[in-house]
Amino acid sequence: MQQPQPGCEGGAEAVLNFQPNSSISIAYHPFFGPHNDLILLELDEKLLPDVLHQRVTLRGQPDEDAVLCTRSKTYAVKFVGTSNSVLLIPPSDQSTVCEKSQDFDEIIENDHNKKVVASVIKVVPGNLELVEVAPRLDKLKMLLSENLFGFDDVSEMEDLDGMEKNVKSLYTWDDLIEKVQASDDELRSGLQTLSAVEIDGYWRIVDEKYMDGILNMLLQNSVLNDWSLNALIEDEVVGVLELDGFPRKIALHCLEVYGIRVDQDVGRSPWRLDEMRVCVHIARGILRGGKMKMENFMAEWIRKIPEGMQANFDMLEGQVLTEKLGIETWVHSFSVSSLPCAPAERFSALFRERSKWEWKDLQPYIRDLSVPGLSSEGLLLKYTRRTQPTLDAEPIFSAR
Amino acid sequence: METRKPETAICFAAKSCSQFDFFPPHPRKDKREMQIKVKCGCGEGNCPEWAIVELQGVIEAQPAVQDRLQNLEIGQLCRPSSQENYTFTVGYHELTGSKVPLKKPLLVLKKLRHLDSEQNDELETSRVELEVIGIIRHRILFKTRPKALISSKLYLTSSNFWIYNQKKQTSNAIM
Repeated sequence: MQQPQPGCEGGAEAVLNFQPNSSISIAYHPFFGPHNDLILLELDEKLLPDVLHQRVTLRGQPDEDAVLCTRSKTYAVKFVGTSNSVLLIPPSDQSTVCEKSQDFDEIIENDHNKKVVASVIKVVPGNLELVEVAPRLDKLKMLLSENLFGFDDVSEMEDLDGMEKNVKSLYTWDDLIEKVQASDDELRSGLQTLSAVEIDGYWRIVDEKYMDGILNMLLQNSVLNDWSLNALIEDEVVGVLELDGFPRKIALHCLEVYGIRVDQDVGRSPWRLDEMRVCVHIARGILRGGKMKMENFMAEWIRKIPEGMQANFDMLEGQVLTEKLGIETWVHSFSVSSLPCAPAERFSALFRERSKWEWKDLQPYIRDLSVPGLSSEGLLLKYTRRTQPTLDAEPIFSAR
Repeated sequence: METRKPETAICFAAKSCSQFDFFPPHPRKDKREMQIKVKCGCGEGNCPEWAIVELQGVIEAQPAVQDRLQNLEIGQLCRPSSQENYTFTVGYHELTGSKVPLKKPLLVLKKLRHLDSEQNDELETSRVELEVIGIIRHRILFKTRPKALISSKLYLTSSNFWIYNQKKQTSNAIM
């Protein structure tokens, strides 16, 4: 019995450049085997450049499903099995597979009559597929909330012998990309949404009470020094706040969180405090103690707002909810930023707060949700039940 | 002319598929797992093209040779005309199929494991990388069931032909 010639002679090229009226022999490769280290990944043509230019990584912890991240997007990785026999044929010169050097050229040169053989290295059980998903940013929030930057950190920073700094629950950028399943761009924008700041190499969320303290100090100083809230000179502000005991980095962070550079293109441009962000921050501070009667809240809010700024209840969309108890309207804090980013968890948190939502109340709490391939109508269909008592009535959304 | 007894055949057995697991449990929980980089040495446009021949059912070898499949011939692939139609003869069966472009390309990735031994710590952690070693853009697909090749000679010898339902070995792609 004659065995076919061993080898990779023809390889994939022979199959792909098949001449009409010819035939080739398909055989098991000399190194045929399960080759679990060979994986097929199906991907969109548009992602090819990212992969070929080494801009993609797989991210996840051992207990999580892997995701593939390009610079800007996150994809779930799914294994799709096949019941067909998929015979995988490498090119003939695939040195990574045919590790032993075998001189086939000679065979081909000398023996044109010999059958061309294409060799099957493995039978593929299926391939990986990519499905675009939203980044898993809830974990980012959870990690950074473990250890907020606050007054303790500042006293620690002042202790110069603090070289044994407790780095527990502190995360550098590199730690975060290991732990959070998001692309670099999504992680960066997630950090920005959380108003996180990099301090001594670690990404931190600054405790809200601490931010309160520094913003109040900034506002007081602006009165004392006759600064215009529309034209704050960075060096001046940061310098004064430093004298008041705030770290330089956090003073700058305060300007970034509550202000905007007057001229974006000029590096050392002055800062203008953003009316909306300052007003919202003050309102949140007032409601931290619990719910309040509307008129009491409004009175206190307007009193605390810096001069030159106008508080408007519409600013608090997605920050507070009102409810009527008897003839009185009460307001309490319910901030969209405190809710999960994953749609199922978001809706369940919303329906825990209220079993029925009117669209105008609901909209601010779901407009930031983005699920690839699902519109906001699709989200509502998936996670809510819509009722409309009469044709001209406002629709009401409840849990499915 | 000597008639060779075919050593491979096609059968239609249910095939089970394994779960794909990129991140196996680490021996030490607190050990940090590195993200997996996808490397590519070939660069755009130079990625070697691999081929796929796909057919329904499972190719089974005779029990006598199933432990040493290496180098064993599976069958003959023919392109009888200038059209992209192909026949694939496996044992006494002939399949008819065609060359079809894939809707989306498939990348062939090879898993590489690097061992990093850390100082001050005798633990060895393995760092996994995936390297792009090829791309697949076409397959030769045989989507019909095989046709038996009836010839008196083959028919007579067909008692030597083995089709059996060996349970397909599940290949676990654990990284």
